[in-house]
Order: sequence, then structure tokens, then C-alpha cells
Amino acid sequence: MKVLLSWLNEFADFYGLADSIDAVVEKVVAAANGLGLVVEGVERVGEGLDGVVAVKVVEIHSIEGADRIRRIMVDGGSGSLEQIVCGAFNFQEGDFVPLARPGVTLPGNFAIAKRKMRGVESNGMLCSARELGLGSDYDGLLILKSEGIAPGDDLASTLGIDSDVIIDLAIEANRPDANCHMGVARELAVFFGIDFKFPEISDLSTIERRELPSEYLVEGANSLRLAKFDLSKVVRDRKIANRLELVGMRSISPSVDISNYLMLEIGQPTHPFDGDKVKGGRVRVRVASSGEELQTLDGQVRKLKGASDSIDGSYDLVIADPDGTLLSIAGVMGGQSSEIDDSSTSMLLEVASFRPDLIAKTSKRLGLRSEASHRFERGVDLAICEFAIGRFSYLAGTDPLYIEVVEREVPRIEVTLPRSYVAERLGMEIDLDQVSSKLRRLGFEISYDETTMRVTPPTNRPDVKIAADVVEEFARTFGYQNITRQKLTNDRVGRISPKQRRRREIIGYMVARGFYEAWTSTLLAPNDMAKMGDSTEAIRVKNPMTVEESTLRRSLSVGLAKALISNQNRREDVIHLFEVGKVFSMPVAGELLPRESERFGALFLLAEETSPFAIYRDLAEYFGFFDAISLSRASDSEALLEAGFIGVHPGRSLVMRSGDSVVGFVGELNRFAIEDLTGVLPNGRVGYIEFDLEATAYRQADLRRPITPSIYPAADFDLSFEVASDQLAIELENLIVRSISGYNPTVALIDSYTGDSIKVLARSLTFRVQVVSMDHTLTEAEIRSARLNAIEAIHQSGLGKLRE
Amino acid sequence: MDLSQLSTVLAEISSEFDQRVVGATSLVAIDQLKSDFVGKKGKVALLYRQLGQIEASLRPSAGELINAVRDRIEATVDDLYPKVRQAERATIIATDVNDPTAIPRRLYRSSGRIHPVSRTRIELEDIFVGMGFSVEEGPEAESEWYNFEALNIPKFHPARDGQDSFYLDLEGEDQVVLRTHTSPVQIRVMQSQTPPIYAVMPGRVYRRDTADARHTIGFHQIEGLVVDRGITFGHLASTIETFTKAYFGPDMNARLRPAYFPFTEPSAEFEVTCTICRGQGCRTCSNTGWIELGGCGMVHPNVLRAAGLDPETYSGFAFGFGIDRLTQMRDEIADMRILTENDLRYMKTI
Repeated sequence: MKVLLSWLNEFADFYGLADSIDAVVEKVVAAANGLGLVVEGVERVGEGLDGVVAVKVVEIHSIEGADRIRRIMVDGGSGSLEQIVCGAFNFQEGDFVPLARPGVTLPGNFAIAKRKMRGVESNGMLCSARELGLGSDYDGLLILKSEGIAPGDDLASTLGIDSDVIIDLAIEANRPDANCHMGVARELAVFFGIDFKFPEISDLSTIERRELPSEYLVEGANSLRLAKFDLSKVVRDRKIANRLELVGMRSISPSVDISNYLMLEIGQPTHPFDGDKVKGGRVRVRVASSGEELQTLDGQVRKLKGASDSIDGSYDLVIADPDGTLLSIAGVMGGQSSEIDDSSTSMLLEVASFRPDLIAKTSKRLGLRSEASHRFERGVDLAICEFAIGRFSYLAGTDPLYIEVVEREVPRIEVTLPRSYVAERLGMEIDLDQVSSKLRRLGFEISYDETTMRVTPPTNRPDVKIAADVVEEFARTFGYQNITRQKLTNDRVGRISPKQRRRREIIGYMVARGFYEAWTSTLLAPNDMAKMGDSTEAIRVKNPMTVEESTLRRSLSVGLAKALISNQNRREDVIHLFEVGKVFSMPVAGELLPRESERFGALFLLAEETSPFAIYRDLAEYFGFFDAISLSRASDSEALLEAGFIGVHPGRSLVMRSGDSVVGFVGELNRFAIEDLTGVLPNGRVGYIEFDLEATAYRQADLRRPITPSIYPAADFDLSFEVASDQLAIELENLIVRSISGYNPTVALIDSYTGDSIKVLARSLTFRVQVVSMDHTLTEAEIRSARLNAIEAIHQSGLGKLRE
Repeated sequence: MDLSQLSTVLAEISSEFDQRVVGATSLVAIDQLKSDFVGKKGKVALLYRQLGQIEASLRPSAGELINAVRDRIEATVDDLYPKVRQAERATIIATDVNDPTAIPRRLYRSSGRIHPVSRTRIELEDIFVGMGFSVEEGPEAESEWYNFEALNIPKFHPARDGQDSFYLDLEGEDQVVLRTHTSPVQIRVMQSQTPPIYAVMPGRVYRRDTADARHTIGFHQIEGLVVDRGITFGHLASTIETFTKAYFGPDMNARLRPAYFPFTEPSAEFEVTCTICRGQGCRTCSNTGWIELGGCGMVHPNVLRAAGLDPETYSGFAFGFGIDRLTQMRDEIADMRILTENDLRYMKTI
């Protein structure tokens, strides 16, 4: 919320805090920050207007060959017309607009000089509000209200602008009291220990008062006041319009401006109806009926929600005339049909208070945020409505003709807490008397004895409800920085879990192996996975920002494949990426949350010497799960898809299984699937490994124990087998190991040969087998027996035939 | 042959040896020299064979004469051999020169790099582990109850505005969101453990925010939670300070200022000394000398209750901040989106 220093100063003498405005601003900013009213920006305005004058537009001419600029002749009071070239189109002949003549320097150190555009001389610049530092409006020129202005008048004095300071405050949701100048000023005044005074109001004690029927209030509204004004008597005050513009609000008409000004000043939103457009001259609060429609002030038609179609007990509150005709959405926005316009002669001012949660729900459901709803949903002071009418009357310079009221009692909360509670929660004793006296100046009623403290917060602090809230008020008033630090002592030993340690080790291992850790998006386009061959239903986001990020990934391969291509497009040729991250699939029946598992994925553009299986094998052995995972050909890609592994090249990949469940795959991604996904074919084979971490590296039980080597000599022998062309070497290796497990074997493939010399079968695999005993030197007979056992096992399995 | 003749021959052999040894500068030449003079068919060996021609009584003396020459030649050669070997090796090494930097790129294999965010996360975890905290994790897809209600953020609460969430399209009555903060893990930890609880909870979170230089849709937070008997705001302030000095350095300070979060009361924002200007005031910190880092506060009684703990017995504090933001500060990253682009050109510079 933007506040003006001059406006704050009407409540307390902040100017008197220091000798210069700069010093005052510095003090105010520091104090506001310390109180939790965070200053997001400070802007000086009304400076740099020297020499800017108000001029009257006399003629508007087009410039040949130019459709974005026009030649404007203005009357600047010099006796002859001045020619200006201007690119704005929001004005017409007769309007008064600001002119900066050559030689003038506008805010932002923008020097104006004589220029020629399209051969037409421009003797200065007609200005927008933003160019003058008078607001953010950049849509066109600042159009000045014509009454009382003569061509050539000094702009600053015409507008009644003094230099001022705009302070932009971030007001937290629990500080509804600070959503207005009065609240901010009061808090600051108490902080500085200077006098605070309420704004002046008109004495309305002699105004005729009537009671409204009780049914004019429904559940959800606490009070309703109607004040009838004669619009012709409402005074136009340029200061009000100027201040509204400075804090970012458009000036509309005197009555609407006063209503807005009042809201920014004391926090109470009000709504002015055209008194003649409201049938019966009165309005009431009622619950909307379902499906009821209203055209709001912004021109949109809004469909409302009644109590009957509400699941959570919420409903829209509306303002209607006595017959029930809908006029406005309570606390959110008025309707067009009852809007005040130039021909209006009377005004019915509605001042009411509503339940915050109802306004919040209505505003959120309609997607309609207004300054009023923003305040109502955070909680407006329930006791300020009468004061608001008095202040409105004062600002309008005229009293209402009558006031009609229906209201409920304003509820008050008394918080009772042990006297020691504040000290216990803060960890230190604070001077209760001193802090309480400050809080009392903010309207808190505080009393305490030896054991108990009672606090009744003021009506503008509906957020203070429980003891913890009271602790915060004391802490804030005392000053967070003044609270003594207390060393946190505990005898706990901090540590990361074995799983977390494992994750770090995997990252470190991959980095050492030359892989770069990627962070790819969890959210994918809905057809990304389908493009890579997966048509399984994935979890969608109901309300994505873009369709590109609307579906939860089932596999890491899509993101890594995209990263591959983007790097390839940047002409990288060595690409090694890995990622550790979550994948998601539909919830198990009866569960609410999706299945979420942590995966490891590694992608590498294959060079001749890299083998996915070799990388996998070393990784799996390093992390001790190689033996716990069975590997087989990935010819069944359905099982892989079902388990959430996408884009597999079936002929060159292996499925990883733990027991019966598919937990990953090793091999290659299908290059054409990547082309379908990205439109670009990878520059080579794409090595890929992806697996579930819980089923592999995170399984503590699988950790291998180191084995002390035998002190006896080992013996080795080679075995060559003829095998089918699609036979996996690892299957023979595993079988040999198992068949001679008593000999502590190590088996390594030393040659894989395909050639003409093998007549019957296509390939030959040669293994070097090393055997050793832990307790003696193996005899020749034992070594022979081991060899025969291994050969026998292969022959019995039918996987291969020994080559003699 | 008499002794004098023998002496003459020996002198000739010695002299010839002395001449040839000068030119024996390679191991091969030395081997040849040795073979020519003291080898089996060498000149000295031939003399031994002629001993028979000498009168028997003189043979011992003659043998001694030959032995003396043989010993001298052998000793000379043995002495020379290692010297020449050393000289020869020195020459080999001295002349064996290459350009170690001239390695074709295809042969060069660099190690990879850890993602900057992972690195920050690990640094943070280690600091909190050092302060006695454990590291806890939770699901990224959360029920609204864990993400909001249990954290004292009822539906339509204004605080939900700032955390616009992604809702998942799932069947079932309760809504599931991609968690907007790591705070739901607080609830899970409080439900599954009995105080004392000292835990930090890092992880990925999601907000429905347009990606720009300062935001990515997914990002990472770390959250801390302490619940025990007698935990105070003073403990919170001290913990924040300890962390700040541990992470940023001993001359860095932290300060708290009032703020609002539904799940804590009292609540505070915490700021640390600006890392760019070290508190002097600069553009990054808008001349304040401080940079806002995160939020913190005393755990709201409603949150303790939602997690099944009695606020009369236990109190606690929580704090949280962005891991990516710290990464940005450390690496002076101008546009956060670089972190999700997986651009190897960037990653190689990490």
C-alpha cells in the first residue's frame, strides 16, 4: 500500500522528527520496517515540475505520412498558439493538458528541447502523469480538470501539488489496521512517542436518524448504515484527487473520490449509490440467490452463488433495493445500474461491515479483487462505521440529509493468559508496564495481577485472538532486536540418514565419472511422454500455467532427452548428464496421494569406448546392488512402460528386475523417439540408465562386505563357448559363478567373437575363470573338477556349447 | 716366453685397454671391451692359456702378473658400467621431450559437476547437522490438509494468495497439490516423532508463478523445525544467528523483523548482512545493508495441535528459506532460469 508522508503528517507531527525531509523519511522507514510494515520503495514526487504549465488544446491536425503522431496547436497564454507534436490520442480540442517547454527538465533528469518530427517542429512536450512523476498512468496525456484554469497557469500550483514522499508499504495479511493512513500513522506515532490525533469529523448529532428493519441485515453482515447526501453540495477538493492519483488511484468524481479517499485514510470501504437509481431510496444486505447475475462497475457480468448450492456453507452477500433488485456485490464491487454519473443529483452512501471469510470466498471465486474486498477480507474495524460517515461529511463539506442504521453489537475478545506467558515464550523478562503503556496507546486494554494477564485488543485488530498473538504484540512493541538471544542447547547428534548419504555418494560418484548433474522439469507437456511411446495415463495438473508444464513426469528420460537435444543444438558433442529426482504415477487404489518414487537417470551420447552396461555394472557393484538385480533383454517394453520407463531401445537394453518387479533399465534410448519428442535426431547412439533408488542403491541389506583374499595361490583357466547371436554374456557368467561357487570364483569375459570360422552358431564367448580356496592350495584334480562343473552347467542350460 | 716378455705383452694389453676405454661411452661398447680383454676368448684369457710355456717355477709369479692386469681391467669396467648407464639414461630422459598440453579434445575426459543447487543443499544440511539437526524429507505431491489446513491456513485465507498452487487432477474427495513449501514435512515429522525434534527439511516445491529472472516454477526450500519443552523466541533468534555466521561467515549478522505467517506466531522475517557490500549499502540491498533471506517464528499452537502435540507442553520454532536463492546470492546469478536449463556450457563453469 502506498502512503503519502504529508497525509501521515496530518495525524502526527512526523515532519518535526528531524530537520530535513530526507532525515524524516529515513527515520520513518526504519521505524516502519522494525514494526513489520515493510518499506518496499520510497519515491519523491512533485519535484521537477518547474516551468511545466497548463495549456489548452485549440487545434488538432494530422501529419501527412504519420499515423502515430499529430500536430497540436495549444494556447499557452502567450497570445499566440504554440505548435507541439504529440503521440497521445486521449484528448480533444478544449482539453487542458500539461506542457513542458524547451529548457524544462522533467523528473528523471529528462531535458526537453525543440525537436523536429516528420519535418514538423515541436516546441516542447505534452506530458502524461508518469512523465511528470505524478502517478503511473502512461496511457496518454494527463487531462486537467478545466474549471478555474487559465492557459499558461503553473501546473504545480494549479494542481495544488507540494512536493511529497510516497512510501510503498507491504502490509501483511494479519495487519488490517495498517491498510490505511490512520493505522500506519498511529503505529508510527506510538513508536516515536509523539501525539496522535484522529482526523476531524462533522458533528452529526442533529442529523435525523432512522432505524432500518432488522431483516436488512443477514448472517455475515454486522452493520449497515445509509446516509443520503445532496450531491450538488458535495465540494470538489483538488487535494483529494491529487492524493488519490499519487497513490495509484484514478480520480473519478467528487463523491467517488471522497469514498476512496476515506478508505485509504481510515480503512473503511464505503459505496456511493446514485440515490435516484435505488428504488425505495434504501438498500439492504441479502444472500444472493443461485445463478443471479449482475453487471459490475468494470462492465463484466458476474454470476452469483446462493446458500443452497454451497457445499462449504459459504455464499455471496449482495446489496439490493427493498424489492430485492440486485445492485452490488457486498464488499467487493458495485453494479453499473446504480452508478453515480454526471447527471446524478443525490447519493446514498452505504457504510457496512461484512464477515471477512465470505468476502474472501466471493472475491476469489469471481476472480474479482478490489481495494474494498482486499480490506474486508482481512478484517475492517467493525466499530468505525459511524466515524466513517462523520469523516465523509467533513470531507464532502456537507452533512447527510438523514442516516438510517441497523447493526449488531461489535464482538470483543478478551484474551486471558498467565502473567508469565510472555516471558516464557520470549525467553526473557520484559518491562510489562512500559510495553503495555505503548500498546494501550494503540487501543489495547491490558490488565494484569500476580498470576494473570487480560488483554482486550482494539476493534481494528481482529487478528489478535489468542495468547500467542499477544506475545507477538509485546515482542513487536518491545522490538525484536531487543530480545535476548538464548543459546539452543541439546544433546542430540545431528546426522543425515543412510539414504541421504547414499544419494550424496551417487552424485559424487557420477560427477567423478564425468557426468553433470541436471535439474529437469517435473512438469511436462501432456503429449511429451506419448511422443516417446508411452500412452499410459499420467497425472495432470488441473490449473497449469502453460500446457508445456501440465503433466507430472513418470520417467526422467523425457527431461534428460530434451536436455540432450538442447545441448546438441548448442554444438556440444560430449554430453553426459544425470539426475536424481522424483517421478509420479496414479495413486494406489484407496490412497489419496500419487505414488512418488525417487529415481536415478543418466544419459550419455555414446562414444565408441563407452558402454552403458559397463557404466551400470561399475555403479551397481560400487553401490552393492549388482547381484541383487537380475538383468534380461528389454524385448518386453510393455512391462517397462507400465513401470514408468519410457523411450527404451529394446534391442540394446536390459530390464532390471528386483524379484518380479521392474525397477529400471540399462542400455539405450530409442533415437527416433527422441526425434519425435524434440524434432531433432540425436547425433549418435544415446546411452541411458534409469532405475528406482529405493529398490537398488538405498537397500542397506544389499551392501557388500569386503572379503579378505586367500593366502593360497589362485588358479585360472579359460572357457570358450559357442552361443546364439542374441545370447547375453552375463547369463553365462552368472551361471558359471553359481556352478562353482565353492571355489570362490571370479569370472570375466575376455573375448566376444563373431566370425566365419564358427560354423554352427554365430558367436563365441571366452571367459577367464579364476578359482581359489581359502584354506589350501587347490589340487590339479580340484581345478579340473571346477572346470568340468562349469562346462556341465552351461551345457545343461543349453546356453552354449564348449569350443574345443 | 719369460717373465719379461710376459710383462711386455701385459703392458701392451694394458695400454691398449687404456686407449679403448676412453672411447667406451655406451653400455654396448663397455660390454665389447670387457669381452675383448677379460672375456672367455679375450686377450687376457689367451695369456692364461700360454702359461704352460713358462717355466714351472715362474708360473705363480706369471699368474700373479696376469691376475693383476685382469683385476685392474675388471675393476675399471665395473666402475665404469653404472656411470655410463646413468649417463645414457640421463641422455634418454633429457632428449625425451613432448608438449603435454597437446592432447586432442576427443581424448580428454573431464569430470562432471554437481548441480549448484545440490551443492548448496549439501552445504546447508551439513551446517544444520553440525548444529544437532537431522535431515527429513516428505512427498512433493501433498494433500491440501498437510500443505495448508494443518499449517493453520484455512481455505480462502489471504495467505493462500501468495502461494498459488498447482492442483492435481485426481479422483477422491480431498485435493492434492504440488507442495508450495516444505512446511508440510513439519507436520509429518511431528506426527511421526516424539519431541524433542530438531530437524531440517530440504526439498523441491512448486508455485504457480510465471518463470522469470527471479522465479522458476519449481524451486527448492529448506525448512527448520525445533519442538521441545521451553523453546523460546530467544532460541529462535540465536539459532538464526548461529546459522548465519556458520554459512556466510563470522562477520555476517542476522536480524529479525515482524512479519506474518499463518503457521507461526510471533512471526518474523530474517535478514542477513548484504553479501555484496558486507553491510555498507549497495544496489542489491537497496542501500539498507541487509538482504531478506527467509521467514521464521514460533510454531503456532494450532499447528502443534494439528500435528497431535499439546501446545501447553511443547513449544517450538520454525524457519525456512530458499536454497536456490542462496545459490543465486553465492554465484551472483542474474537469471535464475539458468539453473533449470541444463546448459553444459554453464555447467562446465561450475
